[in-house]
Amino acid sequence: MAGKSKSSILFPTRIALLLVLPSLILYLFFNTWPMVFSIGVALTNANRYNISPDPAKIKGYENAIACAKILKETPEYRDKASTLFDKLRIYFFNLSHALYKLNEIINQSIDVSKIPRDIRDELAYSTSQLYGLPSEVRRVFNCTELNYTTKEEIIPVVLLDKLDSLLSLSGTIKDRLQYAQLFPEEVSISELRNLTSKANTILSEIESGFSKLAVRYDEYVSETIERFQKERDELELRFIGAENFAKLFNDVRFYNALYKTLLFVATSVPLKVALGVLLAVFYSSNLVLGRKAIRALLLVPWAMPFLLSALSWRILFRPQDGPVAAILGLDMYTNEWHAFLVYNLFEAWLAYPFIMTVTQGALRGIPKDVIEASYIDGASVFYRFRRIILPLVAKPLMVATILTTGASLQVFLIPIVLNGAGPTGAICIPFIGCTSGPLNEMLLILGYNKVASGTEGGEYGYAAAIYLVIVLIILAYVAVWFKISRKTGG
Amino acid sequence: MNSSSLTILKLFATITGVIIAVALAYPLVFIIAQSIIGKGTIILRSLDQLIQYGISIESFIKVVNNEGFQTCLLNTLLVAVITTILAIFIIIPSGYAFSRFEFLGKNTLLYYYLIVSQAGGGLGIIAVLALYIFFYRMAAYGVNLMQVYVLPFVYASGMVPFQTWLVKSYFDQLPRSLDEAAFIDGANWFEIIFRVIFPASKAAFILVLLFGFMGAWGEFFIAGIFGIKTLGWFLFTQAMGQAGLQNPGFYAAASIMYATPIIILFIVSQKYIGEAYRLGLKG
Repeated sequence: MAGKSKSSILFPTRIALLLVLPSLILYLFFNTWPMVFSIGVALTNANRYNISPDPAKIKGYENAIACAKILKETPEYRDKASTLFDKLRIYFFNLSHALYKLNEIINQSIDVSKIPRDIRDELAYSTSQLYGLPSEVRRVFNCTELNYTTKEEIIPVVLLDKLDSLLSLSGTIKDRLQYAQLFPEEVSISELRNLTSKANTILSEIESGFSKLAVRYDEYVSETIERFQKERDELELRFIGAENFAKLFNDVRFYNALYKTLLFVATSVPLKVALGVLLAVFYSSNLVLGRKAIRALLLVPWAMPFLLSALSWRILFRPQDGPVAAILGLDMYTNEWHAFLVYNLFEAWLAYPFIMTVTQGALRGIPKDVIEASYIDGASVFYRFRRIILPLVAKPLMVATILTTGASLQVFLIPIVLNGAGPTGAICIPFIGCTSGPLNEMLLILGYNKVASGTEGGEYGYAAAIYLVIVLIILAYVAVWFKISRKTGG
Repeated sequence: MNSSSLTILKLFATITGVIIAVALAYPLVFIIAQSIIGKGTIILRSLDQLIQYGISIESFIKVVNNEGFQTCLLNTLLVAVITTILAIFIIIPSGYAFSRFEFLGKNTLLYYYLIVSQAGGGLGIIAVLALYIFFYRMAAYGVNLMQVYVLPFVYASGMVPFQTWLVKSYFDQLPRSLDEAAFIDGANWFEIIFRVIFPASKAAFILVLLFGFMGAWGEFFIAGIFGIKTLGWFLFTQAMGQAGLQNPGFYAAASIMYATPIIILFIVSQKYIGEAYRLGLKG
């Protein structure tokens, strides 16, 4: 008691808080808070469009929706629309008649200068009818003029564009016909044929487009409202509950990542532990001379910064012309399992110095006479290893193995730097389905791809859900680690 | 076993041992050879090619003269220095407090720090991705945090768990009587910090300086996804892409220049790293 009170006088809590607070604030703000924040994100539809959206764009969609409702429901605007559709039908009919006549003449291959006047006039007339049309269509369905400012169009943009090009096309035909009267040798029949056939194609597309619109006007406007609504919703960060998690548990790539990660743990951990222990035992033997110098060489993977090792391995294992890939006949760019093997080799190479150092430390504790006695007994190498060395290094090796298992479970950089977790191909999981994706995608890489990949990145809500599940997996691993280390007393 | 057969066995074991060790160190030998080969655009197939094409430092000269590399080098220096200063001024006091003081939640925090620093890199990667999303959301309020001057804070915060433990266990080894004697002499807290604690924690400074500088210099993933042009970014986004394979000599030289300070600091800090791992294993 006395000691405690002395220490609380000499080391007051407020000073302690003063000393700890800066580091705690820094840590909480840049590490813990984003994690907590991402729990929230996992329950939303966050994506690259809505994570920081443009308010003007959202307002534009809202206006377009309100405007479409008025167009659909107000009798005045409905009348305007149906009048316009009637007009369009008549004008389109006139134009198609004129084009038909012209076509007939051209197909007879007569001299361009001899195209009858009435056909030319009819075309000129029906073209002139079209002149104000695109702007009239835009005006009738223009939300901004109805005081709903928006950049969205109610009428399909494709249809409006086609109307514009039809107008310019028929104008061109009209001009060329006139020109042919003055300079017949400069306008060929084939040019006219080409132009009219183009005009016919576009005209028939527009005719059917607008007639569909006229017939199912209400339906079309409702669909448009729905589309605007959907696009607007995508711009708004919304709470969607456990939807992301439901999606995750139906995602083929998640199961594939889980499978590949666990498989990687199952293959790489025995590989690196075996390699580390064998090297430690071999280089502890008195038979090898110059052990100190050799050990320094063995620690090279530990001393090399990851990027340097990664570049070296990338070049060594580059299919076809990489020296090691050529010798082993490995192609990690096209063969899923070749790539998986290279990941294992790279991981084992990166991790064996750790296992080796731990084992060496434990071996140093083995009394020399124990080993010498087994030599005198004539015990076999295997027996010595199994019965004498292994029990003595078991405890520290166990702890090291658990730590290195964590590294394998959280494998991330190795597949990314070697071949982007590829190759890409069809992934099939029984009872779930098939999809296409990187075949060697590990759990953390799946989350990373959903955040930062150029092609599919930006699915932040979904990514947050993925890595919350990964955090749970890591915590489960930590729990097992604590349980084992408590049992072994490590 | 007679002595001559033992000698043969020794010879055989030693030769095998050297061959295995050289094979395991080959990636380092290879990348060095790739950086000094006279023709940097080819992938070195055998060491004979060093004789065929000659040895030159041309790749290194190209790297030094590369403007992108220069910018990245300056940024890296800036980030590493700020990170180190932050780590020294923020983590050492905190480690000291964890060693000497009793306060609410101390053991919970230490436990938490231990778990996050020993559970592997996964939590770190997840924290970074979460931070990335958070920074994007902040951009919606007009705050751009993906900048060179924010990076050192991110780095220093990532160093908090491990280095707090490191500094704490360093002070645990220093006798408490040192600070207690000063109290009895009637010194106030200001005097104690500057006259007693600072001079006594020289080794802690070196430790945090080494690890802080090494960590900030070598880091590439955060810089890579935040798009902040450090050497780590340069190599992670370029050497790990197609460019790294098309111009292997250039990128081999660049990554060796990036790696050299880390390797030197690694060798210097070897005994502390051993210490750190022991601390981890003890927990």
